Amino acid sequence: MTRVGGLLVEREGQLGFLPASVAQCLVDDAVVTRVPGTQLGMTLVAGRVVLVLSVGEPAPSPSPLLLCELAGELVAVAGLRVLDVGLFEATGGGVRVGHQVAAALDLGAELARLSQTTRRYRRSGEAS
Amino acid sequence: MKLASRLLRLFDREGLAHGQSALDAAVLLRGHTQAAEALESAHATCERSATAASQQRNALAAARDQTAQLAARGREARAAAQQVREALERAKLLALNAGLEGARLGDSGGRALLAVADEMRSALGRGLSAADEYGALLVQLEREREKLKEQLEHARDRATQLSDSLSNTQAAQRVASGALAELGENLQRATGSDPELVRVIAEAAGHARGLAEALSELLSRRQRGFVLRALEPALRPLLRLMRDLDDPSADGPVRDERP
Repeated sequence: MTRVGGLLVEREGQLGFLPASVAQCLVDDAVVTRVPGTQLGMTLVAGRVVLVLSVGEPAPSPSPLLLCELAGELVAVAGLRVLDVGLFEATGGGVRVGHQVAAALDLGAELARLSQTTRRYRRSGEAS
Repeated sequence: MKLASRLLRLFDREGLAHGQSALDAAVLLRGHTQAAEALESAHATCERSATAASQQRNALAAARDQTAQLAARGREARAAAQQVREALERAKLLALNAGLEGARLGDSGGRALLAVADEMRSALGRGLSAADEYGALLVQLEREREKLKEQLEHARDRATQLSDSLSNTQAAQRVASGALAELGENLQRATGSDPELVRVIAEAAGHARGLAEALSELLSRRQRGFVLRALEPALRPLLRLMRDLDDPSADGPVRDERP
C-alpha cells in the first residue's frame, strides 16, 4: 500500500486531493485584486506578487489561500476548503478516504485553460 | 325609682327637641372631624406612596443606566471573543501548514510532525467550538439584556404614571381638605356649637346609650330593688352632675363629687 502526503479539500461539494508536492502552504489575510479582463487575480505573498486562481464557489467570508507550485510557478488558489492534511492511501488518480475516493485536482490544467482563454480574449481585443 | 324620675323630670324641663338637635349637631361635627382625620391620614399615606414611587422611578432609571453599561461590557466581551477566535483560526492554519510540511516529508520523516499537527488541530478545533459557543452565549445575553432594558423602561414609565397619579390625588386631597375645613366652619356657625364641646357631648351620649342598654338589660331580671341599691353609689354622682348641668347660674367648671 502506497501512501501519499497531501491535502484533502472540498471543491463545490466534491472531495479533492492535492499532493504535498503541489500544495506548499496556506496563507491568510491576503488581499486579492482582480486582473481586469481575466478570471484571475493577484496578491502579495511574502513580498512576491502571486497569481490567484479561483476555483469553486467564492467563500462567504475571507478564507485562506492555498499557495501551490504549478509548472514551477507559485500560484495562490482560492475557493478550496481544507478538510484534512496527512498521509493517505493512493488509488488510481487520487487517494482513498474511508469508503470514498478523493480525485487528485489538476490545477495546472485549470490554470492553462484560463490562461488560454485570457490570450484569446487579448487577441480578439487587439484585432478589434 | 327616685333617681330615674328625677332624671326624666330634668330632661322634660329642657325639652326633647332641643336636646335632639344638639345631639344631631354633635353627630354632624363628630362626623366632620372623623372625615377630616381620615382625609389627613389618606393625605399622609398618599405622600408616602408618592415618595416611594419617586424612589422606585429613580431606582429603575439607575437600573436602566446599568443595563447600558452592561451593553458596553458585552460589546467588549464580544470583541475579545472575536479576537480569541481569530487567534485560534491563525493557530489552526499554522497547524495545517505544519501538517502539510509533515505530509511533504512523507512516512519516513514527517510522521512525528503530522502527529503533533493533528493533535494541535484537534485541540484548536475544540477551542474554536468553545469560542463559538461563548460568542453565541454573549449574543444570547445581549438579547436578554435588551429585553430587560425594555422591561425596565416599561416599569419606569408605569412608576412615572403612578407618581403623577399620586400627585394628582394629593392635589385633589388638598382641595377636599379645604372644602372640608370650610364645611366645618359653616357647620360650626350653623349649629353655634364649640367643636370640642360637641365632641364631649357626643362621647357622653355614647356612654349614656351604653348605660341605658345595660339598665334595660337589668329590667328583665328579678330583684330590681337589689339592683337599684347596688347601682345607687354609682348613679348618685351622675345624678348630681346632671343636676349641676341643669343649673343655669353655674356657668363654669363643675365640682367633681365622685366618691
